[in-house]
Amino acid sequence: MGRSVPGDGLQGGYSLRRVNVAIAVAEEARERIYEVAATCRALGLEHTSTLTDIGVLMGSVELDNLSTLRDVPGVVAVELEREFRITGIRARGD
Amino acid sequence: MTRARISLPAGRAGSGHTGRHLVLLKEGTGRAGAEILRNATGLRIAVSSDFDGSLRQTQLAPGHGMLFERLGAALLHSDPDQAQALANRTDAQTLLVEPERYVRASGLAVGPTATTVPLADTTLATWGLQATGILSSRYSGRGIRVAILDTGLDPQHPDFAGREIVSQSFVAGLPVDDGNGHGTFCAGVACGPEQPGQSPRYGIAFGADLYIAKVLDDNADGADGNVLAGIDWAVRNSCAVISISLGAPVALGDSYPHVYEQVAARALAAGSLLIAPAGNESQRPDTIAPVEHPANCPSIVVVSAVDQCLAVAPFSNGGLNPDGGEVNLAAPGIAIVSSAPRPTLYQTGSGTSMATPHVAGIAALLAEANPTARGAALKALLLQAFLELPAPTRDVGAGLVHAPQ
Repeated sequence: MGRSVPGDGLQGGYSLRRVNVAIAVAEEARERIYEVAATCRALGLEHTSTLTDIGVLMGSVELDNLSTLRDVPGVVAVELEREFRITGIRARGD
Repeated sequence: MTRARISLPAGRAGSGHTGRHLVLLKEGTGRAGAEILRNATGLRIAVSSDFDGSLRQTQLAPGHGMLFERLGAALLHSDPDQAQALANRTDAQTLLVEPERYVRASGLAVGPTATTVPLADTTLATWGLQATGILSSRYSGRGIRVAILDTGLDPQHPDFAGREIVSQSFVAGLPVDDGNGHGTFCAGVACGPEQPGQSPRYGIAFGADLYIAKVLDDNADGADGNVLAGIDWAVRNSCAVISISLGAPVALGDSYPHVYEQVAARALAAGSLLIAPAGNESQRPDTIAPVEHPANCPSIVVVSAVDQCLAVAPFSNGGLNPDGGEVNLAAPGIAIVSSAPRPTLYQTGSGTSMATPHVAGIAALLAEANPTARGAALKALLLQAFLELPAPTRDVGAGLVHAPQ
């Protein structure tokens, strides 16, 4: 379900497949969401946005580092980004 | 909580009951509930988190039960004696035993059952607005902020002239303008005008303030990053209602996404209610697909679609997965007329996408009628605003959404 980003492939025998992720920050850690983000960046997160009102960090990470991010204090969930589509079928314009 | 000793109704199919029984367990019972139920009834009890995808809740065999440990509830395919034995227990671990019903037995009394709603001709208003009691409602959603997260809006559409519209694009490089039509359609149903220029009335909350977030591009493609950014924006702008007519398929047995559930719960705590479609992957009567992501979060209201005869739409997904994957309400979702970007102006569409903004618009009417009810309180009110339908709860939830009068 995860959407891969440019940079997929192998280099030096290691997988460099990067995936887009959404990271939920724990309620009790929301006041220090920027510290949590800094820790995640140090662990390989390419951080693209911070959604402070809902306590979520967006970015991309090497697939192998996903579990590392899950262990960061203040992180409650890390999930691969999904793609969406609309749920309507337009029949015609009147 | 104390429990009165009760005598259970027969609970047989054909009397409005499915013949199965629902059991509510004490909070925190967890997996231990399986042993408690097994000892009390002699039934074989499965635990929902052990689902391997091969077992459907709706296919529960006689003599079996399923424990939904997260909910602290179980569904038992028991005979009346076994259920009565459970109801007679005097310990505090089982709080409630009741027959499972095809339609919900209680709700706000808002009128007759939906099957008796007369549908007048559609020269003045769409069938969907008539079936959901919009025309007789005294409310318009005045002062309520409604966010539509979709493909954008044509703000120059004549039916939206003069409306207060706040908009933001979360799609890189694209303005909020709707190059697809889906977003303009959904905004039209939720918040379209009381008196459109060249169409029967199709809009519900014509007094609401529109907050338009473009989270899908003009091909209707998007991803979590766009959608979460749109939710963040809508919460920051204190939108009481957030309508998101999009989804991604999930498999039978899948749990809800924890990031979205956190987000939806925080939105509720901040006073914003998320409403999302069940999805269109079913091909009834042969195949029923489970409620999609992100609607399958417990904190998000799930909407299925019905047709003009108030029958479940053949494409509408069903409540097959536990823990949030249940349908909450049904709404009109076939042959729906709404606005289209210029120069088309009006279009007809079908889908749970079309049903969802009916519920969002009615949520805005409820928010106006109940100024202190926001977030979880508004959700609770919305889930009581329905007319019963003669269809399984799996497909229509409580019933057909209905406007406050």
